[in-house]
Parts: sequence; C-alpha cells; structure tokens
Amino acid sequence: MDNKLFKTKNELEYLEYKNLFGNPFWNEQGSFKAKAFYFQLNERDKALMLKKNYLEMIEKARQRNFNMAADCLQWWLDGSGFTKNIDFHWLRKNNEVIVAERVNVERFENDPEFIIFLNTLTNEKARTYVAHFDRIFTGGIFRELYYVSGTSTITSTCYFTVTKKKNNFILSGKIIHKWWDRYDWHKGASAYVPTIGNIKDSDALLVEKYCGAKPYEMRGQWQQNFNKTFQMDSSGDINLKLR
Amino acid sequence: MKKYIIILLTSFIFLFSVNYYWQNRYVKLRPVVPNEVLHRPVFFSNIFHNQLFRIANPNEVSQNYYKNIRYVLDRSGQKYIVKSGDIYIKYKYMNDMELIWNYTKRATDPAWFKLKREMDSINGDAKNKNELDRIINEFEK
Repeated sequence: MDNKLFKTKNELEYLEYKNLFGNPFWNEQGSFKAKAFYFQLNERDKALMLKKNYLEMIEKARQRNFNMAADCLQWWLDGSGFTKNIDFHWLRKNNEVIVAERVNVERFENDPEFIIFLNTLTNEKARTYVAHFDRIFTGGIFRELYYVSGTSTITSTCYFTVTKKKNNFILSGKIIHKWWDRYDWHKGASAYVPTIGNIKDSDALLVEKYCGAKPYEMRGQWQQNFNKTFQMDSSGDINLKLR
Repeated sequence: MKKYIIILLTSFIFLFSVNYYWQNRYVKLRPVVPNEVLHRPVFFSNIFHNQLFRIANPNEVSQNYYKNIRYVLDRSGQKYIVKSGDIYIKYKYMNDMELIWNYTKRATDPAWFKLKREMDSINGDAKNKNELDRIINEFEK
C-alpha cells in the first residue's frame, strides 16, 4: 500500500483512504476528505485508490451477505478474463430471473411457428420442434442482482417432441435456459447506488487501464423438462400451459 | 338511467374500436437493437420494457438482416404485407420491441438457421434445405 502517497499530500488516514464509497449496503456515505484527496490525484494514483476502495467494497458486500456480487467484482479485479459460471440456483432466487424465464416460456406457448408446426403433424408420428427466444431484463436497485449484473439476457431454447393422437397432442421435451451477461463498463455510463450517488463507469475503466482488471463473460444454465398433453380448438388456438 | 347506459355502451364500443384499429394497423417493420443502458438502474423495466430497446439505424445492422428477414418472418409464422419493397406488420407486433429484436437477431445470426436446418433434418423435411444451406453459406463468406 502506498502509505506515503496519502499521508504526505493530505494527512489522510488509511481508513479514510479506503472510504471513498462508504458502505452502500448499510447507507453509510463515503469520506468527503477522501473524495477531495481523490480529485487531486493523477490518473494512475486515482486507479490505485479506486482499486483499494473496490477491495473494501468486496469486504462490505461479504458482510452484507452479497457474496455473489463480491465474487464477481473480485473476478473482474483479478483480471483473468475467464468466463465465470454463475450457479443457477442463485440466479433463480432472483424474482427478475423467474419473470424473464416465464416470459420466454409463455412465448413458446403462443408461438405462431409452433401452431404451424402442429398443423403439419399426422396421426401417431412423432416430430421434433426446436426454437429459441431471448429476454433482456434488469436487476432491481435494492437486490444483489443489480450489483452482479445491471442488464442481462436469458436465451431459452426448446427441444420438443410432439405426437398427435386423435384430438390430443402429446408433448415431451425440455427448455434449456441460458443466462448471460458481460461484466464490463461503458464510457459515459453510470450506476446509481443509494446514499452514495452516481458511480461513473469511467472509474472502473481507470482500474482496467492501470491495475489489470479485465471484463469477462458470465454464464448460467438450467433446464426444465415437460410431459404435457394439450388440444387445439377449431379456431387453431392451443391450450398448452408449460408452467 | 337508460340514457346513461347507452352513453356508456357507445363510449365503450367507440374506445374498443379505436384501440382495435390502432393495434391492428400496419406499420413499417424496422430492425430493433438493445438500447445501451447508460444510467443504471432502469426503473419499471418490466412495465415499460420497450425502454430497453430502440429502432436501429439502417446501417447499424448487417446486410444479412435485409436479406433474411422475410425468411425469418415466414418461418416464425409472423403475418406481414409488402408495399413498394418495404415490409409492414401489425402495430401490436411492432410495439413488442423485444419480439422484433428476436426477429432482428435471428436474421443476423447463423445459429438460428443452423437450428432450423437441424430440426428439418431430424424431421426428414427437405423442402427448406436448399434455402437454409444458401443462407448459412452466405454467413460463412
């Protein structure tokens, strides 16, 4: 740690040096003295100070039990650039993920291509239907997902085998949901953190430039299996419910 | 009392008709891309979901979009009409910007065409094989 740097310039205590952001998880503001100190630094020293504060943020996130957010920030700081697999159990604990998954499943239920496919079926002969839909969604500001990934995507791909038996359609198969996002920052963008205010992405870009932090891909995957029987009415609508 | 019921019913029928016309009128299909989120968080993103997308500029999507979009719409079972070479779809579909983004993505992504070729191959459908092969080859050029 560059102790001399902050003591000689501004009589800044070490605790203040790493209190630029405060504690967003417990509504504590950062030190004004640290902010004043930060603004007088050159780019490289700003990056060093920011890195120290990101490490402090990781500690605070763990104290708040936001371990996934802490892991992701650490992964970025470590700078390997390797893809990080996110546990799907954790993803599906987030309401936003469940809603996005549901929207995609409903698109399959109402997919006009699927209706066309069903009309091509002949009695007792099984056929395969494959399709996919994407859903973009954002994390809510008070939830951990917001700190892990601002905006992310679920790509849902269905692999259905359907057999027509008289007036019934018998469906078996699966939908594979792939969640993905890139952990990166954009010039000109910012993120609002309650009590802290706007944190500019340009701060993180400085850490990438001088401290070796690196963007990376995040991935998560899970699947749902289905065995359903449904019918088509005279107007061509189906009563398939996949949830 | 009867007068009020008639006014209420007439108003209801009028509003329903206006809404039906509005939703079903044909509008020009344009490519849609995700809106780069610059200021996080995005509030009410489930209710106002279209804010996550925007209409792309004509040169912002690859030429494959313009070459393949009609195949994508046909294959996806999406109804449309063509006027003076432009594609028009119903407003209610164009207003679902995520759906149009899905179509835009499909038209510019060889993976979607490969998925469809794989499906046809499993089902023994040879009808679309040549066209799918041609489109996939175009991507690989």
